[in-house]
Amino acid sequence: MLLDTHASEIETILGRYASRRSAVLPLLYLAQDTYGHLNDAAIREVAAILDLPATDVFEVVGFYTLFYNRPVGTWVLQVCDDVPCCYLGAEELVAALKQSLGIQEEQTTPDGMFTLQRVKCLAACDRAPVLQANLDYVYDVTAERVEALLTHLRERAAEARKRGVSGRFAEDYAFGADGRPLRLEREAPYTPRVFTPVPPPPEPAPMAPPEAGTEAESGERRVSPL
Amino acid sequence: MPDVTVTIDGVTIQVPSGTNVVDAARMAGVAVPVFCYHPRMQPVGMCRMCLVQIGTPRLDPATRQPVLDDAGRPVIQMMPKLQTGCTTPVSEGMVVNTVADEVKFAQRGVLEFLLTSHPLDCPVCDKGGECPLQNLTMQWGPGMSRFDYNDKVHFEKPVPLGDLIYLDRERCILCSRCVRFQDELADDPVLGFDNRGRNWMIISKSDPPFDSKFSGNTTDICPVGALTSSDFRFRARVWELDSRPVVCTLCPVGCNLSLDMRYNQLMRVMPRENGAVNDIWICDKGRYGHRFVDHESRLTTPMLRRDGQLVPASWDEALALVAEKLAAVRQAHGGSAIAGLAAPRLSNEDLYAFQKLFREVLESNNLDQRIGAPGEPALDDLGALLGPGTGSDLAQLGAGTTVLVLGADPEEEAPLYVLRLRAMARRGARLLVANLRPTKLDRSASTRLRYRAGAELAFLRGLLRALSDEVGTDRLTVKSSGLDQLRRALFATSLDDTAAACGVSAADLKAAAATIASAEHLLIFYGAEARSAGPAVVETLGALLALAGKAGQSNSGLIALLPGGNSRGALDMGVRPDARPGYAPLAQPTIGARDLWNAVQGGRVRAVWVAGLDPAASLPAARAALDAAEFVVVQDLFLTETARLADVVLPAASVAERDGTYTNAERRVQRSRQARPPIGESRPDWQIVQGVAQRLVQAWVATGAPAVPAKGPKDGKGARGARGGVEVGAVAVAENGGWDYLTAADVAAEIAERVPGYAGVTYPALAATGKPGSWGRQVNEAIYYDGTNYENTEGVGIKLPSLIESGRASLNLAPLPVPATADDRPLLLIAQPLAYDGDPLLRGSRLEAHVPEPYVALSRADAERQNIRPGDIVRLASSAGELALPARVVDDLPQGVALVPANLAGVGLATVQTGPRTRVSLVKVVV
Ligand code: SF4
Ligand code: SF4
Ligand code: FES
Ligand code: FES
Repeated sequence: MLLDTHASEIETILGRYASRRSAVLPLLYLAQDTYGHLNDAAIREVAAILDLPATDVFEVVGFYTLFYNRPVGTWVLQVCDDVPCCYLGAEELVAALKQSLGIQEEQTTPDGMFTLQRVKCLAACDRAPVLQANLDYVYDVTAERVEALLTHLRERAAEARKRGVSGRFAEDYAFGADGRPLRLEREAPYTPRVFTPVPPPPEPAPMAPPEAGTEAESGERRVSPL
Repeated sequence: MPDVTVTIDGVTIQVPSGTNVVDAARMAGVAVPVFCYHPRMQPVGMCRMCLVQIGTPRLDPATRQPVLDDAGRPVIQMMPKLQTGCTTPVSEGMVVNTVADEVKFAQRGVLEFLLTSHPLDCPVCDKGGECPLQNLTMQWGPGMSRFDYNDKVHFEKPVPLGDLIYLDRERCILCSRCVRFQDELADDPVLGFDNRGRNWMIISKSDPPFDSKFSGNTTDICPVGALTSSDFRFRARVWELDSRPVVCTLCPVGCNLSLDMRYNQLMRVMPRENGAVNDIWICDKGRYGHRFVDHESRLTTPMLRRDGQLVPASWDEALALVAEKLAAVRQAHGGSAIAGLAAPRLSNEDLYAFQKLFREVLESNNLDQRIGAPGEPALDDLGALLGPGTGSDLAQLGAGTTVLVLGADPEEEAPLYVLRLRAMARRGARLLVANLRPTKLDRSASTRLRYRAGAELAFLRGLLRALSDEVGTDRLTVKSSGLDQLRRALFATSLDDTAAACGVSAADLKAAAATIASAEHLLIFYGAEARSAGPAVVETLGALLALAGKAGQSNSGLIALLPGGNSRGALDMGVRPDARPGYAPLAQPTIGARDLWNAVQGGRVRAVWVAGLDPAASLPAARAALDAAEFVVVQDLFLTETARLADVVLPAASVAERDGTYTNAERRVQRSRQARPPIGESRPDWQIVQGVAQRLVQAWVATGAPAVPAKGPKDGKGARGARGGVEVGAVAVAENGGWDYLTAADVAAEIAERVPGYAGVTYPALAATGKPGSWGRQVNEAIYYDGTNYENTEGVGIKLPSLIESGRASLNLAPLPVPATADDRPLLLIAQPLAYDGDPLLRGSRLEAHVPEPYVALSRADAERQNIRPGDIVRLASSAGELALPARVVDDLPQGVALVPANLAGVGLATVQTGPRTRVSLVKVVV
């Protein structure tokens, strides 16, 4: 029972809200991470803690896709297959994962290690193709990097079990020079990134006949006069 | 609220501000199609069926005044898009167009979309024929769909949401009416939506699933055939059904029902609209609990005991035998050697005839409506003396009303009152719920008061004291006595001491008293728990009403939740040992049920007539006495335990098979019609009684023997304290002793003439109460809102005046002595009424599966002290006896209380009870 194993954590969570029912999402995450997924008993347990009708809590679980009401693997891999990622190889990535894991989407490997899902834009299109493993971002996952990624995740299985599938403590990964995923430091606390505006292109010089040969050699981006 | 002028499709009308456009249009005679909107619930705007064009007067930004055109009319600015009428409140000068091409286009579009995933299985759908989706599609939908039939989504179906209601996911249009009904109106939030998008579906995850006593109503308001009753699925097509207006006799609310018959078979039970009683709802007990009328175990012929066996006989034989035996007993031992018990669910006509036979023909006052079990509380008079006054209508009450619910569990005792009370609270009434243990109604209360078990009298005295501190006694206007004694009792202890004694703080008592004092209307509901605490508690409630100045007033009064669908009628009709019809007390109380079984054993009573009750089933003493009695007649629907002991068994017609009137808890008399001919040879109870009475009268006349008292009731003056009874005239009685009723209406006419308070309550008068207008439908409008026909052709019934208001009675305020108990056993055993209990009328219904196994409910503290876990067998021991039951451990039950279901077959409560409340000790049985 969560109340036995996580009493103080539950206390802290409840303390954050003016009304008890507001704690439904954090408590469901806690239950999901404790039990691996949200089975009926777990959902009812949360309902009982919050003194909510069980049906209401089932509704919440059914509504949010990040609550798993069926068993999932130690790692839930959610591959973005939205347009930018697609352009940069999402389909190849999904194919490679399926090939390597021997499963289809929405399935879990027999050893219970991986569950594969497709999701829509993860808001990291600048590092496409992207996937999330228990909400840990992994950037630039091209199909060739699948094996390295899976090895890395298998190595971290114990850690994943400890942290749970909900991604409450999610991190960011990219591939290092050695081809292995490397944890990126999060900017903590979050500071909005400063964007330096791209300097406007220089005013085109008054039209003059180009000097012969310069264009080809310079390699500079040419400003079109049109 | 001020009225607002709006123009809808060219019709200009005034509607109360706050009205939404759909309802406003309805008032203007314009139908706006809706699916998700239901007039009894908050609008949610989910289905978009009610899209209309709306414009409002353009305002000058500077002056905020309407801009006028050349003709001086305000310029109307149409909103750029269509609006949902159900969520848009009217505003001054609003113009609505419901027939614009744009609107029609939208309506067709919405319907086309709704039908994309609809299975179109109308030919096998229970809703077919009364389906809003069918009807709205016919009137507003496109003739064709652009979607491919093969693209329809298919789901597994049906999905049982519980054992009573099945869901067809393909038909569901996701309007959430069912969910909102359960959340908002019933306060059983057991339905919800799972998943999203195309996979959205209704779920119920309560334990057991769809755990609500009102679940059937969702099938009525579901605008499609997505929710169907397991009780009615595939039984009939609705257009084959003939709806017969009947009154529910399963509890004292008296909901209006339609028995939907195909030929003479009951297909389903539906609510019939009556704003004053049940609005458009009924509980599941009423809806599913009427299968008994068709049950195979119904008695169909009279039976006589021959050589120890009950064998079929003709009515003639049976009635002659009963008359002969009763005459013989009377001859030999006098009328007082005959006793009669009649069930408080029988109609007024039956009960009146029954007591008339006893009082006027047999000359016996040994009558009762109880069975003589130790747990039965005293008969309730206050609910009539101080009942809600003439003109009371719960539907009209809201802000300004205070409702005190004391020691009652309406969900179990009179389910529909939960909806009524919640509706009043929603309209602004203040709901004070005082109980020794939590009930579901607590959640709807504006104030919850929890007194210590056994301290209800202290609590009420505290409340009364606080009230009199607040308003004095000046508001007491009704005829009364004993005020000084009451005052002395109240002021004998300080409010703080009383508060300490009852466990409710003085501040809470004062606040509650202030709420009561400031109320324009005051209603007080009390139930089994309050009544079990003794008559002093109920008397104090009467004093509370009177001191608050609300006695005898319209929309104020006491409402007692008594067991039995016509319990108030039985009291009014004088089926009791201590009073005649109309609460006219007898000088000498006679043998009631409580003393009956001893009297039989002692030979003082020799013949017993039992109508509709089954004492032998639960009372060993009754069984022994009936065995020993010289002559026993039983009239019932079934061969009950009691009937098995009878010398003559007479088959009675059920409520579906006869006309009759019933008086509900608020003392509203309503008429119920015959829905089909009696089963077999069964007859209405009053006819059976009349059959015997006629034979007795003839015998008297023939033999010239004991004179028939050919006159009205001896004490014709009516209720106590009456002066110059006016209601009761001398009724001319024919030679046959007044036993020549041809129809139930004749009996009712005599009741109207002879029973005080019932003056004018005749069948024609009941019929003339007309169609109730609160729903206010236009022709055929039902199809838009609910699909189901709630039409009430029988009128709303007649609300009787309270006795106090008619001036024939006075209120005794002097506090009743409270008997001291010397028993120091630690627990208080209280019988808990359940809606689904051992009532034989539930037989054959799907509710039988909802009747719990016997149990005793204990508080966690009491259970832990003795290391009792759920399911352990515990023994309860009182000074009377012992009882072993499996334990339930209930978290919110107060310590020191043990609850046992009141009326479950095989519990044998009578062996341990010493009264309505019993002190018991508890031991765990170690096996
Ligand atoms: S089941 Fe009926 S009432 Fe409930 S959401 Fe579906 S269509 Fe509406
Ligand atoms: S509330 Fe009472 S009267 Fe109404 S339907 Fe239910 S059992 Fe019948
Ligand atoms: S499209 Fe993949 S992260 Fe945005
Ligand atoms: S949106 Fe108005 S009735 Fe559904």
